[in-house]
Amino acid sequence: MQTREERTLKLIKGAKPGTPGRNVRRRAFTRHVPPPEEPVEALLKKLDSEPVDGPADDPTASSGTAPVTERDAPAVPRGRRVLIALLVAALAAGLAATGVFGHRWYADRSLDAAHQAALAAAKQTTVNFVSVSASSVDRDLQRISAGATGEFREQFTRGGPQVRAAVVENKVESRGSVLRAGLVSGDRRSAVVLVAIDATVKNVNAPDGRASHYRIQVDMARDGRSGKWLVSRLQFVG
Amino acid sequence: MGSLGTLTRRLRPRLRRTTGSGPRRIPLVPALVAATLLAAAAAGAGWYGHDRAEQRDTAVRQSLAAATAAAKAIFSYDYRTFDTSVANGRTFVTGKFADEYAQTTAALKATAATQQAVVLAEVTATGVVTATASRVELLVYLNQYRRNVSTAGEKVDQNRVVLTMVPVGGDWKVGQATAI
Repeated sequence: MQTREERTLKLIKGAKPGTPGRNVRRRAFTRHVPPPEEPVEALLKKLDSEPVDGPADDPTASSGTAPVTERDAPAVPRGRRVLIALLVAALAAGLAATGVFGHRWYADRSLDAAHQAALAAAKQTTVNFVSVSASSVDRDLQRISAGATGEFREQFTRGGPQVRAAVVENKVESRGSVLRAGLVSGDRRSAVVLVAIDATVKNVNAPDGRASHYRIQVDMARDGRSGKWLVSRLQFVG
Repeated sequence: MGSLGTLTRRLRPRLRRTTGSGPRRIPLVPALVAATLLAAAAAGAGWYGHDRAEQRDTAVRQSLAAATAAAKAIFSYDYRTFDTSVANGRTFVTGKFADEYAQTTAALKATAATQQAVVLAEVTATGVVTATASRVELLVYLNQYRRNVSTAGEKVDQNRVVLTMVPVGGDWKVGQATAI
């Protein structure tokens, strides 16, 4: 750096009037360059009167860092520099805090969304489970099976033919409605849900219908591929 | 601070180039102020959202912890120690429901005595229906084991109860109880 400045200065000193302004541009004092219409003699005079960056006449004096600070000082006032530094620090802190709290909030929200989805699926599949009619038995059983997975699906598939036969034989017509559903526990992939259901069950023994009150607990699992919440276990709580 | 000084120095030449190339330049300080304010607002929103979720989690945890004992106390009684049972139950209730509970138990006292009724309540499962920081609704599966003179042996009622829990001082109490 020092050597470059030296060379620059020497070139300027040796310059004749009318020399292109190229050397001027290579000077560090860009800010002080007068408009081009100013006579070159005046410009050179002005430049000579200004403080010299590097020790042009004495190459051995001072280190290379000194001119940098000297040059920076007039460009940005000290107060402004401190202000900018503080603002940059505040901005960095603000961005970091946004990252941290934003992530936490996002995690909260996605967990809440998972809970809501698990609750909704639990309600739907359990109400399907107690709503089976002889007239639409195949469709009803298929609907239950579509919301099932794991142990529950296996049990249901195994017992399906028997259930179908019993429903048809007894002319069952059952219709359920969810009273309330509550989350026992849950994370983003699984949940345990209580569903309180009332159903009206008509069959050959009770053609006018009989009210049934159910206390159901289901284990829910989120299917990795479809993202759907499915019932993996269903039990009536005693 | 030293590294920040370096950072601002590094930023400077780029901004100067902007000065040279275009007639308009974005003023550095106002831009930084605006960006900082935006970042602070976003961080504040995130913090607020997370804080609310955390308050709700705390509400759920505390109301769940309180609900089992409360349900047992409210839905159990023994004709031999009726007043004690009721006095115990009263510590778990609040608001309008406290009056309701007092009236119900007062009306029940005579019947309980003549029937020699002993009712023991047990909670088998509890789930959260809805939750905010100041109100938690719980679905409780509650069994009541009943003995009295007109029934041989023990009869079990399998109830479904919705408890509305509200904070009172530092405790969560039952503000409403409904059998569904």
